[in-house]
Amino acid sequence: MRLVGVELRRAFARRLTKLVIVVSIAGIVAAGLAVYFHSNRTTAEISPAAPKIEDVKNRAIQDCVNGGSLDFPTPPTALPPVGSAQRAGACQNLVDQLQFNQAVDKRFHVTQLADVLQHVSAFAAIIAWLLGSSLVGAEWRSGSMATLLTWEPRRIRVTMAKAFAAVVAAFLIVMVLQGLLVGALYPAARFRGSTAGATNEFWRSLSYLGLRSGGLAAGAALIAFSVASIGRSTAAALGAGFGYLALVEGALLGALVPSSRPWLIVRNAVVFITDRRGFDVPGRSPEQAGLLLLGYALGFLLIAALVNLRRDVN
Amino acid sequence: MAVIEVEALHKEFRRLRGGRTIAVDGLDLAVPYGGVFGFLGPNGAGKTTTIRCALGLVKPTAGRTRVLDAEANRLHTVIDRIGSIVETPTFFPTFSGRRNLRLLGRVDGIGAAAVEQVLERVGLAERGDDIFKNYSLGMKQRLGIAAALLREPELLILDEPANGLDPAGIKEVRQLLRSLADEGRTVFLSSHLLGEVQQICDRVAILARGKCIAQGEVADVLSRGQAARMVVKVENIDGALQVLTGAGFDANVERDEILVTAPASDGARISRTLALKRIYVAELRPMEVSLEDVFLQLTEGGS
Repeated sequence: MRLVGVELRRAFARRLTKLVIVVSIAGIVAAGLAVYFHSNRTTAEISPAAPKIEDVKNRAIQDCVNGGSLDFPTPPTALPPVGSAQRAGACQNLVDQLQFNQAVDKRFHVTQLADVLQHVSAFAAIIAWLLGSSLVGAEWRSGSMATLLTWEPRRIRVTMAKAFAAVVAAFLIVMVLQGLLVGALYPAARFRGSTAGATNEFWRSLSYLGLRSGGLAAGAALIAFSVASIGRSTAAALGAGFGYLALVEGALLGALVPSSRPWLIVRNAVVFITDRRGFDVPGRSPEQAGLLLLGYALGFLLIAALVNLRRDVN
Repeated sequence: MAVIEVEALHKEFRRLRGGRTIAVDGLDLAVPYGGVFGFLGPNGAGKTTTIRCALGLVKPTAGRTRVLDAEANRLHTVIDRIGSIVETPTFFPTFSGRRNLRLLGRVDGIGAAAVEQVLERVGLAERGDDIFKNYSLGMKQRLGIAAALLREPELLILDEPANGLDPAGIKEVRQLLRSLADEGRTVFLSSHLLGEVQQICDRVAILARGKCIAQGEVADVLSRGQAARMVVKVENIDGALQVLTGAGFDANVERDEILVTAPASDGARISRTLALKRIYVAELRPMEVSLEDVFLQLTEGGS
C-alpha cells in the first residue's frame, strides 16, 4: 500500500499532470465564459424559425412512424411496432428529445451537457493515454526505474502499483475536470439558456455518462501504461497507440475486415460512451462494451507485467 | 559466512544484429561480513553487470548470486538491509533531491527526519530543494549515497560512488565509507580510483574479462602482483650493480636507483655486500607496490 501511495503522490506531483490540469481548467473556464456569453435566451430569433422547426419535426415524426431510422438517443427497437397505436406517441417523444430547434435556438440547454461530455470523453481518453504512458515511460527514460527496483525488487508489485496509480490518477483527473466543466457550463443554461429537462433522471444519466467517460480514460491510461512499460518509452506508447487506432483499426481492420468491427477498441469505446448500439456493434450494451475494453486493458497489463518480469534492467 | 556470494556467474547479452557479448564469465566471489571490499576491474570487466545481477536488476544466464543469505528470487526479504548505487544514480529529474528521497523513503515508511539526516551526512542539506536534473554529477552521486544510506543498511553496494566528485568530495566519501565500515556495516565498493580503494579497502577482488583474477586481503593481493623488491640508492650505480649481480642478486637499474629482487629481510645482506666493496648505501628500502601496479599487471595494462 505504501508503494501505491508513493506512486499516487508522484503521479500527481509530476509536471505533466499539473500542466494537463492547469491547461484543462483554463480551457474549461474559457468554454464556460464563451458558452455563457454566446447563449441567448431572447426569443426574437427563435420565433420566426418556429414554423420551420415544426415542419422538420413533423417530417421526422412521420418518418419514425413509418419505421425510418433516425439517430435516436434510445434505440428504435425499443419503440412499439410500426402500425401500432402507440407508435406515433413514442415517435413524438423521441423527436422532442432531438431538439431540432437548437439550430436556431441560441440558448444553451442544460440537456446539451450530455453531448458535451460525450465529445469531451475522446479528449479525456487522449489525455489519459498521455498521462498513463508518460508516468512509466519517463521513469524508464530517466533510469529512475532502476533506482526504485533496488528498493523494491518485486517487479510485479512495482508494475501493479504504478498501473494502479496511472488508472486512479487518470480517473480522478477526468472526473474532477468533467465536474468542473459541468459547473462551468451550468450557469449559461441557468441564467442565459434553458434548464428544461433537468430532471433527476437526466442528472442520473449524466452522472453515469461521466462515470463511463472516467472509466474510458482509466482504461486508456492502463493500456498506454502497459504499452509504455513494454516499450520502455513514452514515445513508443504514443506512436503505437495512435498508429494502431488510426492505421490498424481505422484503415485496415475497420475497412477491410468488417467482421472485426465488433471487437475494435474505438467502436466499443463509442458504444460505451454514447450507448449507440447500432454503431457496427449491434446489440452491444455500454456495459458489455466496457467489459470488453476492460478485458483488453487487463490483457495489456498482464503482458506488460510478464515482460517486465523477464527483461533485464540496464 | 559471506555477505555476498557469487557462484559461477555467467551473463551474456545478445546483440540485436546477432552475436553475443559475455559480460561475466564464470565469476566466483565471496564478500565477507564487515569492512570495505574493493571490486576492481577495467572498463567492460563485468563489475556493473555483477552488481546488477546481485541486486536482481539483471538475470544471470547461469550461476547464482546470494546477498545476505537470500537467493536472487528472495531478494525482497533482505532488500531493506541493503543500500545501493548502480552507476550514476538516477531519480525523477523534475523533483528536488529532497522530494526524491522522501518519496523513496515512504516506500519503507522512512520519515522526513531520516531524509534530513542523510542529506546532512552527504553535505546536500542546503541544496536539497534544487531540482535533481540541475544537480552536477558530483551532487547526483551524493544524493545516490544519501539514498543508499536512508535505510541504515548493513550492506552498501556502491558502484563508482566517487564518480564526478571533486578531490574534496572524494576525500569526504572515503571518510564516510570508512566510518560506515567502522560502524560494522559491509561496504562493497566498485571503483576505478585505485588509490582510494587501496586507502580504504580491507579486501579486494580484481576482475578482467568477466573473471575474477585476484581476490583477498589488500596486502595479499599486492604481494601477489609481483616479487618483492628492494630499492637501493648509491653514488656509484654501475659499481654497485656489478657487486650485487656478482653476489647473486637479481638487480637492474631504473633511473637513478637499483632495483633488487629480494624481500625486505635481505636488506642487511645487500647493505653488507656493498659495504664490503666500500660502496655505502644512501638509501635502502622495500619498494612499495601500489594497487595500480598490481591491477595493471594482472589485467595486462587494463586491456
